[in-house]
Amino acid sequence: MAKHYVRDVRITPTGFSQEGAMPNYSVLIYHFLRTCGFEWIWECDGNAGDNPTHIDDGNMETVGVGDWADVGTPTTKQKVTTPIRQGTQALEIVSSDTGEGVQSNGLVSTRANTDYHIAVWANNNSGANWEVWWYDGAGPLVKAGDISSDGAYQAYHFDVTTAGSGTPYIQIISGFSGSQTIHIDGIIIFESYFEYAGLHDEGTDGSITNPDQFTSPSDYTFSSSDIGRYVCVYDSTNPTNSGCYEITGESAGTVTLDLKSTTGTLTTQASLAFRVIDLDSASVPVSTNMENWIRSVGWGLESPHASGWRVFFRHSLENGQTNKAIIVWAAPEDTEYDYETGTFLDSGPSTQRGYDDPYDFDGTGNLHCWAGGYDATVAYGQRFFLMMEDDFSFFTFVQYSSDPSPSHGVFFVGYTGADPYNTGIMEFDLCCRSDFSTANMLSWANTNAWGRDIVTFAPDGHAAPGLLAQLGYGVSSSGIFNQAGNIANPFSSEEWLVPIHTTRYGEGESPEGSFKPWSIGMYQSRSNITDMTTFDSEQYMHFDLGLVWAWNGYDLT
Amino acid sequence: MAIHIRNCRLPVQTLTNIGSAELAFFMREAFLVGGWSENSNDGDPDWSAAANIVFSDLTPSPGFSVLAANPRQVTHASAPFTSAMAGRMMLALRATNDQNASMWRITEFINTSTVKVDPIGFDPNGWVDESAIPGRILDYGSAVHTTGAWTLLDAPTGNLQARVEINISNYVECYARPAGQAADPTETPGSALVQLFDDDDLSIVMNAYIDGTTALFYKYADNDGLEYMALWGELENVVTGDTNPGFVAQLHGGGDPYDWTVYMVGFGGTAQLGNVAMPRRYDTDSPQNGIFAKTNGKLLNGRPGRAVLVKPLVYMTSEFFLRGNLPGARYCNIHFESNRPMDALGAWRHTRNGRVVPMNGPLDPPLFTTGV
Repeated sequence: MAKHYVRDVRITPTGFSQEGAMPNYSVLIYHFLRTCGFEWIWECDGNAGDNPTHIDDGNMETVGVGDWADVGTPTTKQKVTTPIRQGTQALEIVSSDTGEGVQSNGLVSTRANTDYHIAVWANNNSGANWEVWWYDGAGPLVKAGDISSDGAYQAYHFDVTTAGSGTPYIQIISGFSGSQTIHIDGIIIFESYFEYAGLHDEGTDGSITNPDQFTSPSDYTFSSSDIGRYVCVYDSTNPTNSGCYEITGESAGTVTLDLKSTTGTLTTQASLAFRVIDLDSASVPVSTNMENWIRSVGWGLESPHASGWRVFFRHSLENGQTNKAIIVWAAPEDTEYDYETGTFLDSGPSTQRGYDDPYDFDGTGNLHCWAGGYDATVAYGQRFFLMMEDDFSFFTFVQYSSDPSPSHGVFFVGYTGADPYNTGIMEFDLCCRSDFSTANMLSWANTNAWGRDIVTFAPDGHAAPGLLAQLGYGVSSSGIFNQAGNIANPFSSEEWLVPIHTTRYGEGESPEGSFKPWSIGMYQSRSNITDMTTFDSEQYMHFDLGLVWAWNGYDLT
Repeated sequence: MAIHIRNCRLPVQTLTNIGSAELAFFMREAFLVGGWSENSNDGDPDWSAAANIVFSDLTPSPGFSVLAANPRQVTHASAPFTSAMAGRMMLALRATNDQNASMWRITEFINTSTVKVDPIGFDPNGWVDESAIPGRILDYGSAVHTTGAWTLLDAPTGNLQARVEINISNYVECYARPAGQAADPTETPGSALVQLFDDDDLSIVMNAYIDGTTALFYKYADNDGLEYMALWGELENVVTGDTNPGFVAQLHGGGDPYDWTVYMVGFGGTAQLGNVAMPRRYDTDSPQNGIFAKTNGKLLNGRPGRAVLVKPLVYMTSEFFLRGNLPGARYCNIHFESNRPMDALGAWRHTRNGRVVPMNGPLDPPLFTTGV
């Protein structure tokens, strides 16, 4: 199956705050996946601590309607158990006339003169519009937008701005006379650091001209000021076109992209989804421009893959504010999640539903993360690579550090390929770390390395720990893949690659354990292949310590 | 063809190297049943002595016959059988059908034209009607050779040759000539010795699996750990240009299940190289425990999941590259139950301590031990 790549995005972070360039790359990942069609399902700005949505009862799970005041005299205002989108209940409002509905409590911990985004999941089957109104703290009350009658739950999005003082709130009211009914099951209000901030513009008419030219005939007009920005582009017809490329030149609205390859060229293609993004540290949520780094910004996306698997990234900081990390949780299907925290509910499988301890998402214990441990005194340059399956069944990335004591980040989430012995969600793995106090994620065996702390799924749907099955460890005399003097097969000059395997611990209701070969183009090779090089006619890429990806035939500059 | 030989108990011996002699004689016959051919031998008359080859009909004329309706029963119109054969001698049939091709102890004398063979070695799928089968009756208890006697066998395809030699130290020495006699064999003295059993085993229960160029000989020992295996074959998954991937390999005594020693001709073309089939680490407890970690694994319990079953990967110790996989053997977690199938199809059997050998389907009976 074809692969889509982000190839060698190089960032030298500003400051030495042990973040590496994780925030920049988190923004990159977000926008690339969004460009590829991943669905936005959650974002938070972290400013309100434990409840980053800023609104009381945003998940509609509070018993009763005490957090919702009447606007006018609605006929009905109650929590109901059907129809709901997720969780256990929704807010039902029945109006008798135009302008009747509900008003939220005053929003919590909003910042003055700041742009916010409102997402409302509503089921409007009334045949007429309902309306969202916004009070910015100073007034007047203004209409933010409509909730159209679409007959099923969907997300409606509104952009608003707070005033210099006062406490904002929102209203949801009927826009039409007569009795109208609406169900609300989820409201998130956030100061966006992903979907809006960092995103310069987007379009669907991206046009590539061989070898490295990109333009947008009508959706966006490129100018010289775009030089230094990046273009995320998705091409389902020519997967090697997909990527995230730095703009290095501009002429008459057409920009030149840095392909980071001497042999790779783009294939001429039109009508492509694209996003123009900023990855400079002034535009991304680095700790120095965040109001609250602990339990900070985050995003959640749902894959277009048939399973609808979901993944959440939430930037965080360990106690003591030293090592930065991005906490990660994922689900092998469209498991319900709490709107306020973004964490999964127990109604479906997720990496947060295991046999033992509860998941701890604020950074002290049972969690998984993309971790730093980056140097606190030197801003070492970082290189970033991402690979995604054509059917969106997984993505993986490597953050390669130039630090001589490297702190490479390696991450995988998604399905590892068909295996008759591990079907359904048992094909789903999350590979990262369970601790972010130490460096060097790219390791096959070390405690806290990505190969050591895999989340797998047992037959009964629980998350279960696992690790990567390794070659050359366990018996010192047999450390073949790390042995000095190793060479490619002299008969062919080609490398011997071993597909990655997962071993699942026996636990809970599945005490046997199991193992699973991956079939998605990720391998272990001898470790002494030169780091960061392609080989075997550029069909493979070696990062470090024997981690190899299938590659797209392009060399690297 | 793929044949399974089971539970061939070679008669009890008392002389120091007679066990070696009868084992070499057994191995030659197993190769022949499996489709290999004898290229040459050292000329020792015992290779063809009537005391050892009691009856031979290879033409065949009229040959042996079996019927599906008469399990374990073998007939021959020339009335070659005697009551003395039962419990002592072996019958080897070079049949066309794999289910009929094997070697068994003769366990029951019915009449001079009819005997029954060992039920443990009998193919669990039964006979397929077949007549005019070439075959021989052999008396391993008489197979006394001169020390140093050898036989050289050609694989049915390719260049690989197997050489079996009787050793004064009560070993059977096993060598391979991966490129035939035209290139260096792996038999430089002292460096390529494959020891197939030890001095304590004066009574040996042998098993074999032969599938084309792959020939595995092994005995099962559930209590003393001395479970030697010898394997000839050609590495699988070698690259184009690797034209002589033949080898002979040994898994020694009570060693680790992946600790095969492999002898073959290297990239240099003339050197013989000792090679190691390396382990994959499948631990479930900690990274250091390797395949020794407990997985609480009893197999075939109805739950989904995959038992660890590893195809040994051969590393060229002197030339530093990975070359290919061993055919005919696997290894697994050492805590799996002994002498049990690894899969529902009965394709592989865990003998003990992580060693895995081919199995003849789900009904293949458990292996018998040497009885020590």
